[in-house]
Amino acid sequence: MKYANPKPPEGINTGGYRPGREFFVLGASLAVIAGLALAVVFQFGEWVAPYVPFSWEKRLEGSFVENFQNDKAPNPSVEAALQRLADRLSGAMDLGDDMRVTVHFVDDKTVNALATIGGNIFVYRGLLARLENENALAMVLAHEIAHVKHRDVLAALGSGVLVSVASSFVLGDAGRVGDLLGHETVFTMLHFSRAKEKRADLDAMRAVVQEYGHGGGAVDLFKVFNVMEREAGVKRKTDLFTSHPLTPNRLKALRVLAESQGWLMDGPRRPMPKDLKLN
Amino acid sequence: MNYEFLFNIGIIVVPLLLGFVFGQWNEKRHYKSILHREAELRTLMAFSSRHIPKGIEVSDPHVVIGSAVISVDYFKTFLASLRGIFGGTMSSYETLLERSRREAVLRMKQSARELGADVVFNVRLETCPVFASGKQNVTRSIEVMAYGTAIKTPAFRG
Repeated sequence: MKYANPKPPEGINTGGYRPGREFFVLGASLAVIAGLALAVVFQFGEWVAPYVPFSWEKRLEGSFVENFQNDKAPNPSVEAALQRLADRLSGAMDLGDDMRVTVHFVDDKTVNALATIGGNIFVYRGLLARLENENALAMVLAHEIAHVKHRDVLAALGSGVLVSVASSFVLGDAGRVGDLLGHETVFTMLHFSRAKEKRADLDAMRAVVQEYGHGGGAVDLFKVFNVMEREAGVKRKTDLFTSHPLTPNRLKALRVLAESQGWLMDGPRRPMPKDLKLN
Repeated sequence: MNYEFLFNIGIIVVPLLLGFVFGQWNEKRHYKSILHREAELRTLMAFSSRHIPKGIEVSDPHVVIGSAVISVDYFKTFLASLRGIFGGTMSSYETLLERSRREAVLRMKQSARELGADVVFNVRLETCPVFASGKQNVTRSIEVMAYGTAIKTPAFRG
């Protein structure tokens, strides 16, 4: 028998393959699908926010946290005391297993407290100095914790951040759109609807009552707000109030809730912890 | 002008572009070399059969081994991960594997020729991935090893 080894035709297995073409076809398909998905997220951001895992939100917090911290030296004893109180309240508020709030103290005269992404809560010296007891402070913290719990921040930051969360997971860190958006644009969106503020108030009230046995903290807090509103005239200038329902209405809603639940709205107040006494 | 934006885009696009240009260039060159050497070694035949035809005169058996480790380029790795989303023929890896196989067989034949052998029987191929462990976006390479028994025999003397 005679054996021979003729040259087989070339390119049966791999011939005619054009990687550039495949790249464009696949890339374009993916872009269209991702675009559609993002459009859906964009449209239904509010609806999606509560289902975004908290750890995803956490990934984005860096730039947001930086933005609120001022240049003044940090005050660890104040922050630690705030954190202790917040942790105690969180325990009563049914946060998800993976959720934890982090409280920051901002040494600035602005009368404000706010929650931002990743469970970061900022309490300004201006507000803390005006509160007379721990109960009122607890009401503030619990209100912000409620925003964190309901993912209100993520929903309010809305489409922009959801898009960046989504894309940072698709493209990895290199493609993080959040950094491209510019922080300022994101912060201006930071306001919650009145319905959400009301829900946060009710949740906070529930936590405060559970912690202290009565809702006196809410009464004290709104007293402070009332005074401030009077000081500011009808303009209601301070940041904290512009987005919130009118103070008397808020307190009224809480009184209604207290009555229906049989809660007291008055009782012994706990003094402000010594680390938090600023005056 | 947002340089961060350009930088973020660049970090993705530049390696892809480099991978595409050099990968294609390399592959073309490699195929050229493969075709050339295959023609040269065509007369030295390789069989997968374990049995040498009966009645021929055989001497000097030797194990001959050829192995090639070849890496796919970054562009094709990226392409493969895209393909991994949609499914389908992983064409971007096919040329990698084909080149590796042919290169390994060529090296095996080359070593047989250097031993003065006339034919290789019982040729086997083995493949093993290098740096492929689950991590995404790691450029993958594979090793293909070809081995067989080279013998001297006038019956197959080209």
